[in-house]
Order: sequence, then structure tokens, then C-alpha cells
Amino acid sequence: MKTSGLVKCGILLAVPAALALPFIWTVLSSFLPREELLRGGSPLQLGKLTTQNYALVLGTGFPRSIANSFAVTLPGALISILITFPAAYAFSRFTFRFKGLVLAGVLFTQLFPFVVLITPVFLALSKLGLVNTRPGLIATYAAITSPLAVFLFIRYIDTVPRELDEAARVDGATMLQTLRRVIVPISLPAIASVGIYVFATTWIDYIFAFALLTRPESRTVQVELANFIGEAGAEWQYVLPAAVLAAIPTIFVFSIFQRGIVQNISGGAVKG
Amino acid sequence: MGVGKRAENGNVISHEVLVTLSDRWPMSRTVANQQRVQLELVEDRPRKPSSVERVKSRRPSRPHLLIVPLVALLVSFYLVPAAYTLAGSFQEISFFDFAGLGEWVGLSNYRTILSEGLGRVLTNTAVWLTATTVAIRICAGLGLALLLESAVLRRYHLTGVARLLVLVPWMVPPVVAVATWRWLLDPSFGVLTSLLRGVGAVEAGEAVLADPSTAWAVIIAIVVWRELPLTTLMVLAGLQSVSNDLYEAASVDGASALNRFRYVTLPHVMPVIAVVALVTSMWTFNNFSYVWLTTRGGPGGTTAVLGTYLYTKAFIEFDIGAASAIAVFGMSLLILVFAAYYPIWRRSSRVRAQGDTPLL
Repeated sequence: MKTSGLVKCGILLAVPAALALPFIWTVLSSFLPREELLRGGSPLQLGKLTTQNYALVLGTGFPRSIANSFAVTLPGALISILITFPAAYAFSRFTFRFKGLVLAGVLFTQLFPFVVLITPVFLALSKLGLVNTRPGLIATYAAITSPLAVFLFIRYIDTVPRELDEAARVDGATMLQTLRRVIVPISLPAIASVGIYVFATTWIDYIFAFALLTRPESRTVQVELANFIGEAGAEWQYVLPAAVLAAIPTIFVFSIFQRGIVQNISGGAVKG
Repeated sequence: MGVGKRAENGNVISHEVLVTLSDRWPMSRTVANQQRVQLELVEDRPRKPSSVERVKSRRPSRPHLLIVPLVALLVSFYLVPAAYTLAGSFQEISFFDFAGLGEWVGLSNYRTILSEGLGRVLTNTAVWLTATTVAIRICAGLGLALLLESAVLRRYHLTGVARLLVLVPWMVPPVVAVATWRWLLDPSFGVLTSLLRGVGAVEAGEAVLADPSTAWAVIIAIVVWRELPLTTLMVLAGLQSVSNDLYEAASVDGASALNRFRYVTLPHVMPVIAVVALVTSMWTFNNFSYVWLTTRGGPGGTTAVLGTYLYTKAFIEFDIGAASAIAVFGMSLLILVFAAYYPIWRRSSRVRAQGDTPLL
């Protein structure tokens, strides 16, 4: 009986494994020396694997693009959280005029296609002299991640008991003090979780970074990688390690926080 | 409510709250130590009116201040651009004189794009990019979700492994996904190319991306591969919201696994699937990256979709007016589709019993 169960598992696992295979193949191939790559050699020859391609890539301008990416995604995440968390607190705890309208507006922006935004945002930032500057892209990233961040925070803050607020009021706290001293410390896991989502969303962005940071030295990692690929054919000994490097932050983040992310997407259907 | 303290205003503050507060707020400890506070066992006594109202009248809160930055940000980056795009679609604007407004030309931009090939672009977008990939994702997603729920995997504690593997494509940025598949399909060195040649599906020396029909196959493969995990998770959430009691009742009535699926699972999961299909379609319809990074809309514009067409008009041909018209087009279609499917969305809200998905 046990073996038939294991066999079934093996067959069932083959499907997800097949799904993961293309990327795993790419990762393995990135360790193949150039001669092997040009021969179309198989990356399964583990004995031949080497890190020389990575050394190659690190010697180009690629590391700078990685730094560029961090330089826009981290501040973007910070600003996004700073703007959305207090707003979510207000939406969760208070009623005020136009609350429904604003909330509906935020929901609507969540549905906005990015391509529609790219031209006017580019033009507006141009007028402000912010094209090809990091602040321009950072502000854009804050704007496109805010809608979902607000909703995630509202959902979380709704679960924080109002007794905490009221107890703080009893002690004479103002709204801001309550927020800062009571709600924020309680919400650190949620803040971390939303921060990760915002970071991942902006790390993988291509269209905005492509349109708004055009100078070679300011390119973000995705744009730089896309540049490596080019139109026809590519220098795979550069492209493969670059692709793997460009994926590491999101892989890292998703593997570790897999459970939380799955829960967020499933909307709490996966209990515990 | 268990053990708590009754504060001087009559409000009961539960013990856990006080512990939390006293860790973070020195003032609570002072309150707690005051002699006026008596320790009382409180058991579900109706609370006196909250002190919040009284405090509020002394110190008015201004929640509006908290949302001003968010509203300002969203107005600047969504509302204003949308208005500009709408206005711009009726004007002729070159890249360099956008300082004010261009000259009003009525519907000329719309006429231009319609005659120039918007039809083919729309077909590409709607049929090949959107409908095909969404259909494949839903079917494969349902299959994968059922697989992840399978009892066999759960017995050997392999569900987590399976889920991690399923998530791999989602963990990879779209640019990296394109790089991956272009490597696999590289005409000279790609392993998939060799396999396809071996099977006879592809001629030797032929570049898969040079031929529109095979190019679409590649684009579809990339989109489906990378976006499948998300669809799977959403469908999985729908599957898990079906109560086990229903399955048990069906088993007791003698239903086979297939029938259980047909009469219990499918009816419950259909509304969720409808919503997933709608949201995914809306998102895919306007996608730019996948097509652009794979073929740039070529060869010769044959794989152009709405997103790449817009980008080309705006940033390569510098025709802002036409680009705006395309954008308005994209938005209106989406609004239409959304309006048409709204009733389905409302119906599924009632079925989605447990929790709500932030994305839907």
C-alpha cells in the first residue's frame, strides 16, 4: 500500500516539477562554461559547472543596475507604507464625509491599466524635470502600489481590537499618538508583509523603469537584463547569470514568506 | 470578557489590552497603579457608553489629514493623467509641445488608428493575448488546484513541496521569464528547440519568433507559464471554500469522485472562476511587457497588442494624440466588460463565504 501511495505522489509531483523546470534549467545553464553553452551542452553535466559566467557579468555594468533597482524600490516601498498605513487607519476607524467615494476611487485605481498611465505620467514628470531622475520613478512606484497596500492595511487594522484605541484615548492620547504608539507596534508583521509585496511589485516592474529611466547608467536591473537579450540572439553567458541575479530578491522573498503570501491571496481561506 | 480593570470613567479595559499597553505605553502603568482603579471580575456586563465620544468632543480627531497624502498621490498619478489622456485623444500633440495643449482635431486621431490597423491589434490582444491565455490558465489552474488539494500529497506531507514548485514561475520577474523561454527556444542552443526539431514540430534553422503563428505560441507559453501560479492560488481559494460537509453528504449518498466534482465542486467554484477570469482578463488585456520583450510587437507589427501599440505611438512615433486615443480605447473596453460582468461579480460575493480576496 505504501509504495503505491508514494508512486502516486511521484506522479502528482511531476506536474509541479515540470512547471518549475524551465527556470531550474536556466539556473543550471547559467553555470555552464561558455564552450558548453555554445555547443548546446546539457547543464546536467554537473562536473562541468563553474561560476565563470557570474564573474563575467559582475564585471560589466550589471551590478550598478542592481544598485539602481534597490535605490528606487526601497524608498518607494517606504513612501508607499508611510502614506497608506495612516490612511488605512483612518478608513478603518473613522467615518467621515466622502469616505465611501474615496474608497471606491481607490478601488477603481487598482483596476487601472499601467500602459494608460505611462504617457501622461511621463509627460507630467517631464514638465517637472523629473524624468530620468530617481525621485520621479520612486513617486510613481509609490502611486501604483498604494491602492492595494491601502486595502491590505485596512483589512489588517480592522482586526486590531478597538479597545486598544479606546484605552489609549482614556489615557489622553491624540489620534496621531494612538496611531504611532499603539497601532503601529501591533501592526509590524502586517507592515512587513505589505512592504514585501510593494518591494516585489516594484522590483519586477519593467514598463515604468523602461520609460522613466532611460540613461544607461541609471537603468534598473530588469531594464538592463532586457537590454542584454536584445533583438536577435544573445550572449547567453551574460544573459543567464544576469537573469538569475535579477530574480534572486523575489525568489528569496517568496520562498521565505510563501505561507503569508499564499494566505493573502487566498484571502484567509487557508486558516492558520 | 475575562478579568479586567474598570477605569475611572466606567469603561472596562480587558487584561490583555492592559498588558499590551503597559509594554508600550508607560502611561497605562500609571493608570493601573492608581488607587482609584479597582480590580474587578467582569463577566459580560453591558458596557457603559464608550469614552471615545467624550474624549472626541474635547480633542477633535482629524482623520482627513491622514488620508490627504494618499488622495493627493492618487489624484496626481491616476485622475489627472486619465483626464489628460481623454483630452489629449482629441488633439494633435507632438512630444515637444505638450506644455499646453495641442490643437483640437476632434475625432481625427481615432480615425487614424482605426484605419491604420487597430482592428488587427485588437484581435491580437483580445483573442491571442487575453482569451487564449486566460482559458488555458483557468483550466490548468483548476487542475493544479485539485492536485494541490489531493489527499495523497497531504498524507505524505508533500503539499508544501508541491505548492512551492507551483509557485516557482511566479517568483521570477517577467523579464527573467522571457529570458528563460528565449533561452529554451534559442534557435541554436535552446534545449526545447532541439526537442521540437526532434519531434518534427519545427524546421531546422528556423527562428521560432520570426513566424507570427509560432511567435504567438511562444508568447502564450510565456504568459501562461509565468502567470499560472496566481490563477492556481485563486482557484484553490475557491476550492477550499467549499465546505467539507457537502462532500461528506455526497459520499454518503454514494456519489463517485467524478460526480462529487461535477455536482458539488463545480457549481461552487464556477462563480469564483468567473471572477478570476474577469480580473485576469482585464489585467492581461492591457499588458505590455510580455509581448514587447519577446517580439517587440513584430515581426512587422503582426504580434502587436494594445500595450505595445500605445507605446510605439507615444515613444517611437511621438504621436501623443493617437497614443491617447488608443489609451481611451483600452479603458473604455475595460469599463464595458466590467459593466457586463458586474452581475456575476455580485453573485459570487455571496458565494465567497470565508474572507475576501484583496485582489477581487
